[in-house]
Amino acid sequence: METSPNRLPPPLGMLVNHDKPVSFRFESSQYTGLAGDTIASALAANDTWLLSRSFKYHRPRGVFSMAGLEANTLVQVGYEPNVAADKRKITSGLEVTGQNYSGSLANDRAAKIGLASRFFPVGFYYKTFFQPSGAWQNFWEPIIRKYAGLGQVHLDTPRKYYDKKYLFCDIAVIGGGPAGMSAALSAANSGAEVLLVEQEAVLGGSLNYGRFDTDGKLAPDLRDEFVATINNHSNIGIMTDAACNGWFADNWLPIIRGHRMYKLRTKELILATGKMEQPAIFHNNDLPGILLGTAAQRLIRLYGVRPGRRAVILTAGDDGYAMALDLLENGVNVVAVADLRESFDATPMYEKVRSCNIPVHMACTVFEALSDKHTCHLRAVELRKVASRGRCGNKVQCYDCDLLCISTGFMPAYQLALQAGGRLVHDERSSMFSITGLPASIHLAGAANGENELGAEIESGRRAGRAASKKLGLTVSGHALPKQVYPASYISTNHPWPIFPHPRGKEFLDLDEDLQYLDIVHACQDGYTELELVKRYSTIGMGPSQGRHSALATARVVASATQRTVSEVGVTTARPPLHAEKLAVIAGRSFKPKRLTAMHNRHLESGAQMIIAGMWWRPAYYGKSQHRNRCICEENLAVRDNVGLIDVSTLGGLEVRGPDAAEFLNRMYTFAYSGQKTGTLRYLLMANTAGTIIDDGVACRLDNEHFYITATTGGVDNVFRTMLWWNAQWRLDVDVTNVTAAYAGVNLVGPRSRTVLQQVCRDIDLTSKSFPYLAVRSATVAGIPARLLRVGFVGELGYEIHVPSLQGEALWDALLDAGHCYGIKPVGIEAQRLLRLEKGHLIVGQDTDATTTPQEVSMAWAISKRKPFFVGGRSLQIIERHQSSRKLVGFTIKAEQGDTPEESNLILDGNAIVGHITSVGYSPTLDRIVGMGYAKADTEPGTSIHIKLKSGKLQFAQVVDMPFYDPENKRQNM
Amino acid sequence: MTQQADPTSFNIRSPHYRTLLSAGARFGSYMNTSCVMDYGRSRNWEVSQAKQLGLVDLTPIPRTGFKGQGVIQWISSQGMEIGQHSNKAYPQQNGMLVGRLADIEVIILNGLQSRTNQCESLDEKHACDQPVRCYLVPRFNTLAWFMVTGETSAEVFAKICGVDLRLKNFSRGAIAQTSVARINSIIIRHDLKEIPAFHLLFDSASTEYMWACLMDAYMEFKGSPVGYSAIRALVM
Repeated sequence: METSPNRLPPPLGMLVNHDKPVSFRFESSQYTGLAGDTIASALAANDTWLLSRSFKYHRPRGVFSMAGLEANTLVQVGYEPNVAADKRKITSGLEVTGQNYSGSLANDRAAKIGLASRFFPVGFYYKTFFQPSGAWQNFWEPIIRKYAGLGQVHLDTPRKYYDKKYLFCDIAVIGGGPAGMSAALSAANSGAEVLLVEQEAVLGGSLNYGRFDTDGKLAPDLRDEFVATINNHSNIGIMTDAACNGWFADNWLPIIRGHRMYKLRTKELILATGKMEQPAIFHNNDLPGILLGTAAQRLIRLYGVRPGRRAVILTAGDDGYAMALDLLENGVNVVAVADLRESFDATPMYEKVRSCNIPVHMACTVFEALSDKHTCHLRAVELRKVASRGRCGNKVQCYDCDLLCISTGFMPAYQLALQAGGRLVHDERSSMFSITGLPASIHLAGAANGENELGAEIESGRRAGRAASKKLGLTVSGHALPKQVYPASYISTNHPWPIFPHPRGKEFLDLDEDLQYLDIVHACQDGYTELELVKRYSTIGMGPSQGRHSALATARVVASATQRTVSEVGVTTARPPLHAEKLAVIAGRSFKPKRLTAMHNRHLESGAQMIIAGMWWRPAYYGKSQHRNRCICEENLAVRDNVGLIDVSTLGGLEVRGPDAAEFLNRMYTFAYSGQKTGTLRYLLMANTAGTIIDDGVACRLDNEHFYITATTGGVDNVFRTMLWWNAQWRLDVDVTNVTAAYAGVNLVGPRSRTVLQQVCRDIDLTSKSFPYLAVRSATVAGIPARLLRVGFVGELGYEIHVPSLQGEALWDALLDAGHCYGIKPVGIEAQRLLRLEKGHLIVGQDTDATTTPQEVSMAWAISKRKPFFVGGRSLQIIERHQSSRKLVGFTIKAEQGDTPEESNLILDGNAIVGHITSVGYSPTLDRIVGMGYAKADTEPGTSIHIKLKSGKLQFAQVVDMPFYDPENKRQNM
Repeated sequence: MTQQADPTSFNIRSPHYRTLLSAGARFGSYMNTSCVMDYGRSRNWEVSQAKQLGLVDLTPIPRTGFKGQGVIQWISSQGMEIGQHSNKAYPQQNGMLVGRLADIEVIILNGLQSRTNQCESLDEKHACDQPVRCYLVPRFNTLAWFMVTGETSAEVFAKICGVDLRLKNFSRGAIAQTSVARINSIIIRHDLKEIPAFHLLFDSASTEYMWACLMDAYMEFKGSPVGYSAIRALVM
């Protein structure tokens, strides 16, 4: 059995198994907790309260909310930094260390920085950017970088599996407390499919740890009844340990549980997110041993841990008295209760505390907390009378204690509601909050709606459930909600000003960022009066707690400093994520589609180095990467001298069919197609409405009403979309179908390509006379039905062979077999790029950019002057009247002349940039470097251009006419 | 048991036949190509797996498609019964399944039990008739075809598809034209008698990728690839 000093016996500790001890290590010491314990509860059971050091002043910090809401409990667990110790369960052998200290957690040398805190005024960080000049880079940045961050990131962190899943429901209820459970039951009884999402391990919310009556029986009884009813309800799905981390349009909710993000889409949403207990502000309010009241109750009831031995309670309502009873019942000596209120009507809870002879000091507050020098833990508090708002009067008494519980007010857990467009409204009279302005499909329930009394919370949930069901058109029926009598006299209040500045400061509004009362006052005095600016200037609310414990106090201080109301000041914008979220959760199991051609595995088997082109994987060249240039040269020469086989399956393919097919192409492309003969090819150049080149390809006329057209690999989807968009307006009688995936394609090219093809294609005459350049034929190749296109992209005799894609591999095999005795060689796209460069053919997207016009690339020949209309035609007419400042020119450099330029190197005219290189490479055929690039429009062949190399050197190149190779086009016409 | 066949002995090959082979697939000849008949396990095991969660590669099974203003008229004239609603699949008496994707587009799947290429016959008829405004769409090559079978199939889809495909919300014959693992896809619910089942048709160039995505999603539910024989057994 575990024998931890602070462990309470069963039935306390509903989340732990008293029979299952678990050993783990913290700061190199061995501890034993219980299965179900969090790191923090297990340490607390062993009387270890110091968990971390604060971000700026390295102050000792410990358990505060027991709800994973603040930076106090962040620890390092193995590879994982910034783990909330009050949320993470212990497991056997877990290795936990503190964070952000120098030396040891107990004796942090960096804590001395707190002594100099007055030299770090608000906005200090930003001020270091400006004055004195140069101080940031040379002095401040190295220091701040050294101290920035909390835990340690390890680059060798093992990979873990994270993924995502979609979820759907009629009504989602966020929050499994009394209001949420009531709402879920009410909605489910109407027949709706309900999903109840709870961030804790069990349903119940405050019923699991809170006390709502003097006997302390109401909450457990009510919880058991609710949970049993919900568990047995077929319409309710339950997700526990699940955090709804944001709200997005149309009720799209990311729910994170474990390593998975659920993407929930719900028709109606009920937010029963509860409330967040708020701290009081006084000197040293951050010491270990000072807890929110609900934290102490969570320790007792959820984990069976006694939170201290001698306790003082600071309160402003029944919550503090309820807590006093909880502490008393569990062996804690409650030495005093300080009530901020001047007077109130006695309630049963108060009466019961009084009957236990606990001193209650009315209109009193904690003036300061004192710490033990050795343990850093709370050792005493000094109580003083409240003289006026925020001012302390005479000393009442100093109490020795190791526990101070604070219950002075709450705030709705408003974040999700505000993300959804709600507005937080503060009632200045009662200091209570409400939320307005939510979309019609979102309903509030319980404390999130400003209800602070148990019965009202449950009734509010019931109403929300009914309203949501009604919106779905469901008949709302009666239901079996637990019938209880709730103690209406229980008063849960929100004190309007639990803030007591101290002459020595250290009264923290924001524990994450170590921001004190005067920091915010000074921020306002510096002119930052709007809360959003105060936040950015001071960094308040920018830590892990995201203002959960500081927003209200900050709003109050800013309101006071600027003579406004809290409502007028408001709270800062609430944005997702609500809780800290691992990048792995967002990134986990992302989908990265990849498209493979039918011949993909054949390329791999041939030793190809693959590269990505859009979503396609294509063979760059065949051979080892260290032999890249040699491989490309050999493939280039194979095409020029013999025969090569290039996989062109990724080319876009579109079928354009119908009576208006030719007219459609006339309008879509710059060239003319009405007169194109069946069985022929024609070049396609597509411009957008601005006259800019956006794609090219060829049009094969298969019959009078049928064109098969190609588009670029990366451009086909846009071409297809553009075509549909235009024809939605033109209403031409034409159908366009994207058949890119339907066809595999190869380019059998080189002077011996006809010879090879003749081995496997015998049903048509392949001679130049019968099947000339720019013709298209249907035939079978190795028994596979094929479309054969005589194209000349690389400037040699060649045949593009398009076959049904499922037969692509068989075609590849057959052609390699047929060409084996002729020395056929597979050729990658690097060689293909070089071959077409030698031929002076441009690649859209590589040799063109977002403003390139046909005139700039000397393709005015591809623009029909006789057509009444085509897309971009009007723009091109206008452009034609103006001389462009640049044009694409060809250039050569002798191979031995110097360094080879690279694509994107700048082309200069003096010091002025006139363009850049778009394509360049060494041509083994021509034994020189050839390239294309943008130069001044008046650049003529025979002149020189200046290229600025990556090294910074200038390289001279001679401008020449294109094409570089076979200018008379004899080879492709063979 | 069909005679085992080597996929490379046919011109028509499933794009990821190597992956299937490495998973233990045994191919059998099917019409003019080959199809995974089983994965070397007993018929009962595969049928049982298909009932729980199975993934079948039906890419070698014929399919076709037509689009254009005259499609519904021509399809109807071929004796097929097609209803008024789009995004709905209509089973035919001969076992074929006609999916009405839009008022002007259909996809047609060969009957799972059929031993003849019904789609090819239809394509030939189309070529012969040359119906007005009715254009052939080469679905056999543009789309790969998987079948996701079993009680947890909707759960698997929830991991890779944003459409609510739960059985109570996505009825028999329903069609979703949507994105699956970021690939444009057509999903058709077509139960195998009482066993929930979905046809998944998607870009054929993405076959390898989609298979990997599904296998990854299947792990959670102990899903496994099963052969065509198991499917046929379930519909017999």
